[in-house]
Amino acid sequence: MLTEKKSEEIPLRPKKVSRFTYAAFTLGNWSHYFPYLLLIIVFVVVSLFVPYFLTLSNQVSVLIQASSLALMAIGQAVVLISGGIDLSMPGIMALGAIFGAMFMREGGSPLIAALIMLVIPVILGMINGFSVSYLNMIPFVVTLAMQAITSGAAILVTNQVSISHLPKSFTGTIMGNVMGIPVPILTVVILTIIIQLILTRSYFGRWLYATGTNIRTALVSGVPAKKVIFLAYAFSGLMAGVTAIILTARLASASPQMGKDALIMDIIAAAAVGGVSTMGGVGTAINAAVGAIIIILINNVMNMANVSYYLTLVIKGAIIIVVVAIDAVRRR
Amino acid sequence: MTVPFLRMENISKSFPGVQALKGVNFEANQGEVVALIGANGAGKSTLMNVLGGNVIPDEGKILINGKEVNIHSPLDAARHGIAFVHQEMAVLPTMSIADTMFISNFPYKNGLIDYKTINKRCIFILKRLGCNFDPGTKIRNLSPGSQQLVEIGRALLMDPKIIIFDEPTSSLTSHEKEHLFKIINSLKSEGAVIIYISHMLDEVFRICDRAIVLRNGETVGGGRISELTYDDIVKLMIGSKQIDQYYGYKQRIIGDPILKVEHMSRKGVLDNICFELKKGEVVGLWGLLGSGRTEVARALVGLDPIDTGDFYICVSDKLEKIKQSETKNYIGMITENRREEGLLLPMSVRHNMSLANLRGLTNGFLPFIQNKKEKELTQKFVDRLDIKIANQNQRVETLSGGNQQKVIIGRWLQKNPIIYIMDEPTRGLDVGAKSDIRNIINELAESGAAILLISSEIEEIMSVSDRYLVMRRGRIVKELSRDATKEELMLAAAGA
Repeated sequence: MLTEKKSEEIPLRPKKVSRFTYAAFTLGNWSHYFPYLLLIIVFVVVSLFVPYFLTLSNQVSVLIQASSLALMAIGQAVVLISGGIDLSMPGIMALGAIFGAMFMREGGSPLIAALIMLVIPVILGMINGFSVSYLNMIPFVVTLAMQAITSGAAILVTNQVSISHLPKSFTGTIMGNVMGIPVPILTVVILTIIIQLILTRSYFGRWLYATGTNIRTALVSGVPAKKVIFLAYAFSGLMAGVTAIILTARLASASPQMGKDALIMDIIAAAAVGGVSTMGGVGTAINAAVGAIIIILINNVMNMANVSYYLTLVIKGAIIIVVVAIDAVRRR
Repeated sequence: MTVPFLRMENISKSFPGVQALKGVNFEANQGEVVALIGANGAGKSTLMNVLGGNVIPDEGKILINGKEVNIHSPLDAARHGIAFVHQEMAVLPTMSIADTMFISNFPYKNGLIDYKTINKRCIFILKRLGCNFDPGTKIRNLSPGSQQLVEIGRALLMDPKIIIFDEPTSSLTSHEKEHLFKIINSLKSEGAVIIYISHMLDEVFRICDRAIVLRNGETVGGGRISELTYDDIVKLMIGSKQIDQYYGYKQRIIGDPILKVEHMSRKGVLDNICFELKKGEVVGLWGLLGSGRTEVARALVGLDPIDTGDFYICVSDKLEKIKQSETKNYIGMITENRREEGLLLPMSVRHNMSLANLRGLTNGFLPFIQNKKEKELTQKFVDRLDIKIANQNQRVETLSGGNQQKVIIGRWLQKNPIIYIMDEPTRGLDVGAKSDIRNIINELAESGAAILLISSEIEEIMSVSDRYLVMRRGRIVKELSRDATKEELMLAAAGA
């Protein structure tokens, strides 16, 4: 499955392609199956080495951990598919969480607080999107600067103190169960399905893939590519906002620590391991979510094995480079 | 006459699918300006790239001063005193004049670039070119004409004995042009061999001593300019081969105007373009390379900005003014770069063909694409255009050029606009695919669409057009009817 045939040899026979596999249409089957294969391998390895890993309660807690990373990986995937990159997701997420939490600390309603946690990240995402699409700025620079601004602002407004003692109605609802399923997991599952459908089955999704594959062709064909790019960044802001709500509830507090720079490593590693191309035009929401689970499992096993934090950074950085290198070689 | 200073003997070169040069002989003497003339694709540039070391010929030899030389790289060429002033300037906008001139050959002193020497030589050469810029001036602060002078200065740096000018006037104002001619004349009087490639016959008659005409990779004639006329040269350029001009052409019923363009201008590119397209009409937009044909097409669909210009389109029964950003809703654009701007190469035939019509594939309420509708429409146009594919999921990069082009046409047929712009729609296609595309153009026109066709192949444009707009230097200089001859078209484009 990992071997890639020459492009000339592939398609001359009819191929049944299932409905959720846009990636399979575009770059052969590798980017579709690879994340699942990797997930199985990592899962088996982890279950061999980590005691009690296979218990249900542990599985659930892994999935809850993975949920916030999965949401951000999906947001990142959409931006990557459009041909850009969003390095500001952690900072945007933290700033949204902090403002929402501060609002609740002052006695504000949790519902409005949740709205604040969504709206602020969306606005910041729109600023990213506007800069990249309409002002033709380089995504890397814009979003790196935005990460600096938001994570710096997060420290300034909190004085490095985390905001806790949030109302039970907030944390309880978000961390509660619906039909026996924890809300964070349910949210990820529902959002993944909706976004997957939009990506693969709606005209907006097609525009996104077309823009990321070849923006010149997209423009000549009448695709509003600038609008598409703008919306991609706004969407990644929205995903950062949803993450802010879930993470604040899980930690029962909001702090500038949430937006630390190293988080972007996990987000991009999740998307890349999930087969989302950093060169645009390829990837799906489901795969990005699977990539997030893989990264969380790797994090957990390294934690268990008492691997130093700095070594985990080295390992995750290496994973990104290997996966992106495979992608680059395949595209030549 | 003695041995010519430069002699190229029996030069042949083929590229995949095309024999660019077929045993060309070329010679030039010192103190002479030789014009190298030919239509687009005649082999002028390839021949000069052989001399400049950018292209290695399959056969043939080059003699300078009677001695055979081996030129395998631009560096070899420079060593033999050959300088090439390119048409497209390879300038570095953020660097200074001095840096640009010496970029490949910085003199060093004590391990550092010796700017003292550089500036001295730079000023000397700029003086020779009659300009007094400071060598530290950034290239981006110069006009295109002055940038061209810097490029010439770079060529003169090596004290060349042979200087090739490839379309040097295409970005110059008339004042700058006069200046360039003066420089060429002074170089000539200093005994250099000057080879002047140009489409512009008036320039050739102005400054050249001798002309050599290429056609389809062969030398077809030439002689002393004083003994030639415009007509002689045009006849040599296009040849006497009688083409089937009326290939598949039927007199069509031409309706009312559906597109009107007025005063479309963009500084330095397009100059007051005005024209109309009528229902059921194929208009050939004819001109030589760099005349602004493609720029008209791109501005028309909003891909390039314009300074001024009004667009009118006939939606129901009368022309209504629309904005530039709206024109693309009515126009299907087939660009000259199939792979770079036409296709989503790694994607499937179906997704490529539905790209322009995605909103039309929804149920109008939800944004989701109806699979069945998409498949049916794709199949309809695959059949109608006779596109050879294994199935609709085949990646479009695996198709032949002709089938790829049909995929792009099919994309627009799905959207069904009232106007089509086709920029070099048959470039790089084989004879069979070319005639398929021509048939499609005719069918489209008969079905009532208006088509603006751009082509470098005069036979092609003549086989389908109902009338011609001839462009030169960013302007529409002439409108010709279908009865126009090849000679008339070529003369109008070459500026006689």
